[in-house]
Amino acid sequence: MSDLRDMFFEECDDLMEVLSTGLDDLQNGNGDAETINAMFRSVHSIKGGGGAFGLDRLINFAHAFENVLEDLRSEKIEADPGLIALMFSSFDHLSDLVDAARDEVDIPEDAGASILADLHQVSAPEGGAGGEEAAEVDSADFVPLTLDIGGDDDTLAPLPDLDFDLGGAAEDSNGTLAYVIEFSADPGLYARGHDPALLFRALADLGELTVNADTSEVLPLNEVGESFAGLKWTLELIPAESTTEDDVREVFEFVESQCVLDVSTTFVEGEAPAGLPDLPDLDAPAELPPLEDIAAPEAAPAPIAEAPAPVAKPSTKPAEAKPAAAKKSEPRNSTIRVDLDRVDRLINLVGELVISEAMLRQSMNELPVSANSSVSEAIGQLKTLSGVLQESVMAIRAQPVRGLFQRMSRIVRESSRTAGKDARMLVIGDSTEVDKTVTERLVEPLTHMIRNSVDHGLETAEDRVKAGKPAQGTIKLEAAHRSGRVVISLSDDGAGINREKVRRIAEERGLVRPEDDLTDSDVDNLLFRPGFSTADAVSELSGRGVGLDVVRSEIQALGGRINLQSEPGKGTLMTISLPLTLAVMEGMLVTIEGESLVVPTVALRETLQPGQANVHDFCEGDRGLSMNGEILPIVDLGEALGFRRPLENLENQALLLIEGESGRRSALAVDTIIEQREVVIKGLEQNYQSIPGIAAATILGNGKIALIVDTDQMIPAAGKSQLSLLKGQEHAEVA
Amino acid sequence: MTKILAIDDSRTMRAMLESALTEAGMDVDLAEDGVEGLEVLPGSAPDLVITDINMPRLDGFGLIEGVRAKPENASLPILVLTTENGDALKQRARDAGATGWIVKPFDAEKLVAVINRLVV
Repeated sequence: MSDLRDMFFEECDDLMEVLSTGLDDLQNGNGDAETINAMFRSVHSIKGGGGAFGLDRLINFAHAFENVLEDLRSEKIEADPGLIALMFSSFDHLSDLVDAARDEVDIPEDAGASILADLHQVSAPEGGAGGEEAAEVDSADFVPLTLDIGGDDDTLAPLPDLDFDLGGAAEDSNGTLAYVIEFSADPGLYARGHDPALLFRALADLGELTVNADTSEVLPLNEVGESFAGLKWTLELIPAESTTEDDVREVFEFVESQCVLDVSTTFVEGEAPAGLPDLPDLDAPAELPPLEDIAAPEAAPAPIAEAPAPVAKPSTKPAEAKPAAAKKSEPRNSTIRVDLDRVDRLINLVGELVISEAMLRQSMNELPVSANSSVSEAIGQLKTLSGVLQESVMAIRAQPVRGLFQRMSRIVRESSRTAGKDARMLVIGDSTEVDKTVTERLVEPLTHMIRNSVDHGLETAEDRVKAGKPAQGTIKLEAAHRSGRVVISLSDDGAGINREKVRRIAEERGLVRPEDDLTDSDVDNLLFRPGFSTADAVSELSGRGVGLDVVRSEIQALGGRINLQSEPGKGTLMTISLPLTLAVMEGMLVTIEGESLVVPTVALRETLQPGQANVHDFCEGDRGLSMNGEILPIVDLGEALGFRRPLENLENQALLLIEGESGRRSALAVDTIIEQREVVIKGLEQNYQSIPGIAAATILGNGKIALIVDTDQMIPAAGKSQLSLLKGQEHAEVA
Repeated sequence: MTKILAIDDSRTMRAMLESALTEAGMDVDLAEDGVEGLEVLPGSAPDLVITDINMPRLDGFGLIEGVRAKPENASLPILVLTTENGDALKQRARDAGATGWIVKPFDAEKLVAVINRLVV
């Protein structure tokens, strides 16, 4: 059962996605009848599953939502902006209810109450009438039914009395209560797959049954034409103790409008028990088989007799209509669900394969005479294949960002409501596929960024109108693949960054000096400094900056970069660029004491060949690199990682200028810089343990292991080094 | 062994039907919507069909019409599986040619009892 439950909630995710896509389409005016149908089915299925698991709150809400969608489907109401907004709120609440049910937590009683009331209100005027209508249709249906049942109608109400009376009488007269059932079938009964013999079999389970068939109206087979000549039966049931009239009627539940049925009660004389020996003869095998024999030929002609009618009519219609309907809807992609561990294992193995291939290629190249063209050709093929294989395997983990973006549209709705602003979300490229891990880890940074955009980026409706913009702000979220990376951009059409203010606060916080010459983009990027995310900075800053340093470090942890552009009065654009897969990384291969190391390109800003650098010596072996009027600490990587003793001088060392998450820079001294290349990341923690200064490892083409440097740990913290003190002096000197 | 073809677009519901019916010793084939139901019907050759109403591509009513359009299925029992309990819906199901109906959430025992009442 818990498997089914899990399955249900997984299905809910998919259904909610359909619902959300439908809502977006409606909002953008792309919706058609099938959009609403699909939305209706989603809510309907959620309700159905909710019913199976007894999730009452979910059922109630889904039911109200479904009613509105039903009215929309039957064009009783229109998808105007008000209704679409209500449906978005309903979507959000439904999603909360699903989550609460999944996690088995309660959400406040009054949560969603107003949405529910609104839903009722929308569907009430029309839906209420519709409900009555339906009730009328029902009763209209019932009238002929009760007429069919005939006299029984009159006895329905007094029936309990009858029971009592008869019960008493039964004792008096020594008789036994029996039901007399008169039954004759309409042709339609057979056409719906019923068989009177099966009905009688079910009755026989309820007590002792006697069946009498009236064959007087049965026509000879050769005379059976279009019209159906029916059998009539009179059945007498002496009910078993627990059998009630309802049980008897329930047997006929499915056929009530396709037959003439009369159920009445009678008494079998006191002799009945004495006559019992006769009864088995009558009702049991003796009587039933002939009945079935009669019923069967009767049933058989029915379809034949009926055949011209039902076959002729529907067969032409469905033949045209159905394939057309099938063609219209898109073919489905069939999918399977696989444990993520298995995919990861596969990805790992393919990573190994790629490395082995590189090793093989390298050793081929090192052979003295590698003129064997067939071998090199084969190796070329192997390289292509392993490349394609790696791509395909990576694609398994890839997911469209749609789900992520849908969550974000909710954030826009919620934060604009909180901020009292009118904002809409525009989504572009939500079918762009990104590694599952990446989409998961983007949730928080994007949420942060969107809240910022709404809170600080967008102006109030009033101000917007004054500035000649539409009152409703637009937040645009876009995803695309660009040169082997995924680019996700978030833009708003707000006021842009107030650079004067940003600069002033940065100066107050000591992040820049008043005399620093900063470009606009330098100022914008100050927002990523940790100094801007403290609580009082937020209250002072009407611009941006809430937690953007956190956002940046999250993005960098994914191997990505974030970039910010702003145009005063026009808005702000933030661009996140991410590697397509997490398993492959771009790095700079360097050597120290003959060992290979990789410095991630993400952190790399500049490389300086030996002799190019302007190195200053300070006390206690500290050295600094003078660049653009700034002194950056130099870290001797060989020493830091324990490859060798500190070097006397750095003249022969190449320098790599890196920037950490905090925006702080330093220079790494290495022996030689080899080349920039892609490497397959191999985690060390699972196999060894976490090592300070080392992020992971990779295997090079020659089979050797190269460690990947954790650049963030290679940047001295402020105050730890003498450099921070010397900075001011040096600056004065330069200035 | 009684063979059932169960058609529902919800995979949770399909799994529930499959487990309830298999437990009752029946053989179960599944389909995701009316179109697929009609496709697999001849090969499946079930003793009874259970179908949902709201489905993409071809809904339950369409499915029933499609089944009944073939003379060889004239007496094949078809049960409609629905969340609605209104008489209007029952009438509609009947009009379409359904043999009977089960209301969701279904009770496995009752479902099996209903099936046993309809299958020889």
